[in-house]
Parts: sequence; C-alpha cells; structure tokens
Amino acid sequence: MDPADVDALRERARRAYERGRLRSAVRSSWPVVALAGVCLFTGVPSQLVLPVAIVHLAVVVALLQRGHGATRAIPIGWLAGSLPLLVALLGCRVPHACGGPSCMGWCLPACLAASLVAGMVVVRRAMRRPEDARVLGIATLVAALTAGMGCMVLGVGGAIAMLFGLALVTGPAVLVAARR
Amino acid sequence: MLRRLADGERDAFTPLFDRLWPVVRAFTGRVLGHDADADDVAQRALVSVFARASEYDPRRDGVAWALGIAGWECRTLRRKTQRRREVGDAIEIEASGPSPEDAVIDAEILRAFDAVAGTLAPDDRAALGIDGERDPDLSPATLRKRRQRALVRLRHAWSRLHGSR
Repeated sequence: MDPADVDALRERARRAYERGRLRSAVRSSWPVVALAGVCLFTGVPSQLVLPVAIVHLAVVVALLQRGHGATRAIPIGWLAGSLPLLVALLGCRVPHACGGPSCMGWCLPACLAASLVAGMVVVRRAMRRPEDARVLGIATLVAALTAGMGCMVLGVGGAIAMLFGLALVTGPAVLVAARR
Repeated sequence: MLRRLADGERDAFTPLFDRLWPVVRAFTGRVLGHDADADDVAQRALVSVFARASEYDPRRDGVAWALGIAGWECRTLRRKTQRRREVGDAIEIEASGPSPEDAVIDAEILRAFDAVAGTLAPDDRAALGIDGERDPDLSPATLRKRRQRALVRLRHAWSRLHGSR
C-alpha cells in the first residue's frame, strides 16, 4: 500500500480511537445520572443537585476520555462519595430527623464524619502502586462531587464539612504519593 | 501495547499501528485471496480495532483479539458478496454447514493452534487431550492439576509464537 495511504489510514484509526474513547466514556458515566436521580427522588431541590451533577458528569466523561488510571479511580470515588451522600440524604431528608437547629447540629457532623470515612476508603483502595498519586487525586475529586450532590442539601456548610473531611484524610496521602 | 493504549497512553498508538497493520493485512490476504478486497477489509478491521481499543480486556491476547475482529470483517464481506450473487442469480442458497470462508478461517486457526501445540511436552498434550492416551490410573484431582499447568504453558507458547499484548 502507498505510504500516503498508510498515513491516511493511521489518521482515520487515530480519530476512530478518540471517538471510541469518548463513546465509551459517555456510556460508562451512567452512575452519575443514577445518583442525581436518587437525590432528586429523595426531594433534594433540583437547583442544588443539577449544577453539581452536570459538573460531575462533564468531569467524569473528560477523565475517562483521557484515561491514565481514571477507569480504576472513578468507581472508587463513586463508592467512597456514596457514603456522605447517603448520610446527607437519609439522615437529613427523613422528616423526623430534621427540624430546625437540631438538624444542623446533627447533620453537619454526620456529613463530616462520613466524609472522613470516605477519605479513608479512597486512600485504602487507591494507593497500591507508586504511580497512584494520580488515581488518588481523581478518586478524591469524584468522591467530593458525588458527596456534594447530597451534602449541598445542607447548604454551603454541608459542602464545606464534606470537603474538609475528605481533604483531611486524602490530602496528606496525595502528598506522600506524589513524593514517591 | 494494546493495554497501554486502552489505558489512554497515546504514545502507544503509532508503534501499535505500525505493528498491527502488516499482521492484519497478511491475515486478510490469506483469508480472502483477492488483493483489493483484502486491503479494504484490513483497513476497516484496523479502524474497528482502534475504535474498540478502550474496551480491550488486558487478560486476552492482543493479536488474537485484533485478528478476531479482522476475521469477523472477512466473514461480513463474504456474506455480502454471497448475498449479491444470490440477488443477481435469483437463487436462494441455504447454507447447511459452515461456509467456505468460515472453513478457511477455522483452518487458519487450527494451523496456528497445531504450531503451538507442537511445542508442548507429550505429557502436556496428553493432559489436554490433544493426542496420546491419558494415564487411566491418574486421580481426577491430579488430572485437573496437570491440565491447568498444561493450559498455562499453552498460553505462554501462544504468546511467544503469535505475539503478546
């Protein structure tokens, strides 16, 4: 085959590869839609869920399309982030649990505690090899976005508590992994 | 290299393409015979391989996976050609067994398998039931272990002879 034709074929194959990655990334990000659906179903206002869900979806698709450990990191983030999400949804949306100041007094610390546990899950499952700083970073970001869809129901304080809890555990781990 | 490309390492694209193109083209040439058809099918197959690269399972042999896709493209072309002939002649041909192109592809795969099986020790071949009699005094557990070890050696021999990931 003519070298010019081989070059043209190489370009076609490269474009097909990138299109295939994007298609695969979009297909694999269905859990974001499912989690947003759960939040909306439990009564979290759409103006709180949808912006975070849209950003979450865009970030996940972009990371999966890029690759480099995202395929391993993202499910870890979803798993870890589901805990503070569930705590925020069940603990703070169930009618009997919430009522005035006592709600904030209970829900915010619960979100923080759940985020600490989420951070430990991320560190435990993501850090297996020296190159895992990237995996750890991606998993933490996705965990924060997942938890954010639920913890936003507590307002900015809820989101900050969640981010603080995650960062407290994963921050040092990311630094240690990056130094290796 | 396929595993690296599946993980998103774009550096692996060009060396993998340069390595796969002659292999796929040679395969379609052997199966189809006709140069123009073999070129077209090989190009379609290669584009399909790269389109699906992100779905590649690292536990599978890379070359065998790519040739599987090429084989499917060859079969698709043969069926299309056959259907065109049927419409032209207004004759409906019912295939009762494997079509000629399936037989050629199966023969290629069997030849490749024979080449690999020939490198195994007689005990391994007997354990896999390829040739030779199995020792009837062997317990089922011993036979199972021998078969597992023989399969591992067969897999390594296949990777050595027909390329690895």
